[in-house]
Amino acid sequence: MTMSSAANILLKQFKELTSNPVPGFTVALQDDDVFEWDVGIIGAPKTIYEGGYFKATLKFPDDYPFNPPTFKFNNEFFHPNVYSDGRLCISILHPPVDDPTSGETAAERWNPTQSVESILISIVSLMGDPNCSSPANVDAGVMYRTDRDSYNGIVHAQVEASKKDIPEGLKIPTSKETNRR
Amino acid sequence: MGGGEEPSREEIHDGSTTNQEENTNAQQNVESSPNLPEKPVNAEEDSSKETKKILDEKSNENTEGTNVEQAQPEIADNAQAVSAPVTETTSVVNPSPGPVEAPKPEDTANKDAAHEDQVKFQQNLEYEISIKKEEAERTPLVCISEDIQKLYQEYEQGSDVYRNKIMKLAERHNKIRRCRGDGNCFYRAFGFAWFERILLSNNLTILRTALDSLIATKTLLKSSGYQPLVYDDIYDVVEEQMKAIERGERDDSMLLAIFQTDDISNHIVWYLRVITAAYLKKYRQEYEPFLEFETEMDQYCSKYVEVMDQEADHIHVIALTKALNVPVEIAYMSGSDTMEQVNFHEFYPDNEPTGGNIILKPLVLLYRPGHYDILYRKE
Repeated sequence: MTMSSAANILLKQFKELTSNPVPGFTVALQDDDVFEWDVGIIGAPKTIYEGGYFKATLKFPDDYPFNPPTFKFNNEFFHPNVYSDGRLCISILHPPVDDPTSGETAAERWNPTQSVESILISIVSLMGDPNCSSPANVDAGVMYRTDRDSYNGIVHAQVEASKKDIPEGLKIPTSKETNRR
Repeated sequence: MGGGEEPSREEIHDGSTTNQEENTNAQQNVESSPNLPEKPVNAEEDSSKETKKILDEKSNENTEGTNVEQAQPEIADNAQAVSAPVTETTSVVNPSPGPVEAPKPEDTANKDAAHEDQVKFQQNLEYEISIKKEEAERTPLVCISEDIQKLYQEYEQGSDVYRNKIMKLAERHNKIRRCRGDGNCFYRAFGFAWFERILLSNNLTILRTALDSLIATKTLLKSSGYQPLVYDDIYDVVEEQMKAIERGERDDSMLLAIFQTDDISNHIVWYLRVITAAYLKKYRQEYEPFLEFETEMDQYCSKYVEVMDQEADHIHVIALTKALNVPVEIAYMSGSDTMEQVNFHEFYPDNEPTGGNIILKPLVLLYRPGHYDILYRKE
């Protein structure tokens, strides 16, 4: 039973997410491995990401949910909180540590009550609302604050480039159709 | 309180944080205080006073609830871990402070520096944590019980305040069982002592009552807003262990083995944490006044209760004992006061002793600043 409880939890959450999909992303298992998920983030309508489809990998540790998964975009993703190798830096995926300088304002860190769904929702929300106080990509952080037009331009190019990854049959919602449930 | 002890705590923090900007300074600081490893003990003592104060305040229907320093247990816990490694943390992790070289637009340069600091800081933290873990992992999660003399021997070179207290303690208690100091010790000690008590009682009523209390926690969790998806499987692991006792498949050595196994042991610890959090949330109006900085209960729980390795404060003890209907007595032992008596605090659930509850004798835990172990009372 030792190894199976993490796998059980993940399998359950995976089934839940595939039978009741949450708008905004798709999930699939990589080679039937419940510890490695293929995630597709669907650009939210009425945002600069509209029309895009961004592939990423969610990797879970053996002792999930006691430690957080890692999230990595498969392609370059220009964003203040994404490293050049695609790794996403988001507080809820940081191991819970005593941070002596953080005080009470510290952002929420990993905690086993998070579900995959809540993780993905936080990620989608970070995409549109970067945290520029501790940027993983300094250039993106600076540009986001000082030159939004150029920033949006780069994002737009990435949205266009990402369209090749849209799986067959997946309808990407746009603001014109507003067909979100 | 403890005026002279206050600075030591700051020093500890200095050592581990300021090094981002003042690398060398911090290092000197640390190195110039050869007695640093002893300081955390003081910090811990301080925290124990705090805990006792909290206890007193609680019983006095206090109005100064905001005094409760929720950070206390962490400090104590940190202190243990920080003691030795601080110097290394500063010297090893930051080989080059690396001033920003090329002239850049000011904003970028600032950002770069800030980012570098952030990264260094993160590295320091991770290094500190890895040492803390390494240190803690030398002790099994739960140890074999030992004669209480062993506890006495631990203080043979130390303060006679402790020795006197242990002598007193030994009049009624003959054994101690240590738990790993990984921040989960309260929950683990509680969990083990509870399961052990049920196992050794050999009493089906006690077992069924415990199982009922456990089953009831699922309702508690749900009503406090937890998703079954998140806790169901973990609950199953805990329930399975209880049922294995019922089926007669457990003896004391097997129980110990189970609690020494990371996976199952941590499932039990975490489930006890969520029970605690769910109870605190359910009765938030009663407990929120005890939280520092007017913290909101949900936020408090997500930072200090639901998270592994976070020390338990005294409201956690109250919550868990009430939620599971398990009486606990805690011997508070610190070297800070000169009283020879060890103070016992009773955490009894408020339920009237009906049904099987009355049969379960209180679990006995030993609290030393920042740490819990299990005590055994002479029969």
